Amino acid sequence: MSQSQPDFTKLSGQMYELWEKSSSAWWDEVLESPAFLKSMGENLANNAQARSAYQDKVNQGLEQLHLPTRQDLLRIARIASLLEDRQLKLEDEILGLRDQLASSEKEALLARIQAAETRLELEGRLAKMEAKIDQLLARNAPQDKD
Amino acid sequence: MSGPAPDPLKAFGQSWLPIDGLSQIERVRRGVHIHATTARPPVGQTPYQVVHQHDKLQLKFYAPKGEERRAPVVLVPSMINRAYILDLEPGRSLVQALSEQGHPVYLVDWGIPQGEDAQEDVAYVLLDLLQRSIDRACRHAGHPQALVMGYCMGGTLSAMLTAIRPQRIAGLCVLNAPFNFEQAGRFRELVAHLDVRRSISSDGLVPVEVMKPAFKLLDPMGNWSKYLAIEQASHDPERLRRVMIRERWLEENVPLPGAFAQEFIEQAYQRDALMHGTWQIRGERIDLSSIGVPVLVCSSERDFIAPAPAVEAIGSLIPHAQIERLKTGHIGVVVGGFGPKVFYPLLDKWFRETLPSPELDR
Repeated sequence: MSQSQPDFTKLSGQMYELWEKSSSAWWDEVLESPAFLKSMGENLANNAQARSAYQDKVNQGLEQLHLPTRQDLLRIARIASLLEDRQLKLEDEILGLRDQLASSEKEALLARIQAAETRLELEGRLAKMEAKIDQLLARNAPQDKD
Repeated sequence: MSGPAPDPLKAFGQSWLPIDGLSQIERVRRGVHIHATTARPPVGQTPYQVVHQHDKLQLKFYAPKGEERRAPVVLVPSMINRAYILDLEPGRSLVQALSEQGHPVYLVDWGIPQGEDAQEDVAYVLLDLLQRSIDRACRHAGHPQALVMGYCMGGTLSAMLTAIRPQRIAGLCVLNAPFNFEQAGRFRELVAHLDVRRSISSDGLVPVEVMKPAFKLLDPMGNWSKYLAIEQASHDPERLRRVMIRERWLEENVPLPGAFAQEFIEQAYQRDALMHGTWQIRGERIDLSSIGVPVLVCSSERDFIAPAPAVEAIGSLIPHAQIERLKTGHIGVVVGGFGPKVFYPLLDKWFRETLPSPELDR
């Protein structure tokens, strides 16, 4: 009776799947572990501190060489940004004033149109009244005797 | 796009392929090689014009085609990724699709912050950068109000602005934007107990080198299976190009201003201040329930960055919000085949219904 040989190809496939599943489960566990999260936070804080310390040292070196430091350059760039902010705020105000002016102009135009229409209407009424008066005067005027 | 460089280990790896388990490892190795040596395709190819600039921010205008609508559509992407996610490539570009439907489209490209921007906080981003961009878009389009679509963090910021400065906003669509940060999944777990004041300096930037590993931790095994997918895609040049274009976007993270990151993590992720209505911007309380304009909330079923419950929670504050749960993922909704087939038409229809153009609806 021949004994069946283990199929290494299939076995390795199963091992791979098992590894993938267990790795996934392991990561899930690790990422929910308070100890991991705490150490990650600590690492981040240490990283920020190390960066800041490194930057301080570089700045000190540059200062000793009488060269502008990163902080100096950032300060200048910051001033440029603030100037741009102010310029844009002024632009906002100008645009706001322009909006107000446009709306006042629109209102003035509407008022002028309304005034012109009223004037025309009044002129029409006046003409009618004058015509009526003329008719009345003509009716009451003494008739010429032949 | 030039393809991957010749693989010096290809012949050796060939011998591993017949063995199930080893073939997977060989495929991952090939995927890594292809990923490392394939040039990244060009992005953001839709022609545009910059109509407003403020600091690193650019407001890009994409002219409408065909029948023109007047109301501007302002697209607000996340600040931690490049804005070209909304204009990835022809045929998979939200800006292209909307402009072809006749909308004047304005894309808020936040740009890449530098050291001098470190002190920019949430108030500055909302009231100086975003509000002004929407104002300029309205002025440029000659329409009093805009339709705003915010994606991911851009959606959260757009909703915050709509709550306090609604004058210029006629309708708001938020796509995969978290609001209830208690349900914001693994990212919330990662930052929930972080001492932000110690870990993030308010006069520096949160560097990309810190953000990238954090995003990788959201789906650790995804970093492995990604290479399998790349290897699989490499047999079809078009498919490989699409995978690599997405990779390009994922690789090109943007640093965040320290002051902004501190405030956002503390208020949103740690205090859930949006849902509790306790977030104050320059003394003004942000109350999302005060939003009165039409709101469309789109969440994605397979989103682990902004899980659907975290997104849809805004519905409990704004009862008139229309909620759509899409059968896709966080990125796939705009860059996958799902975008052109489902999401772009959905957005176009909602914009037309929200603000019909009387000059067109004759």
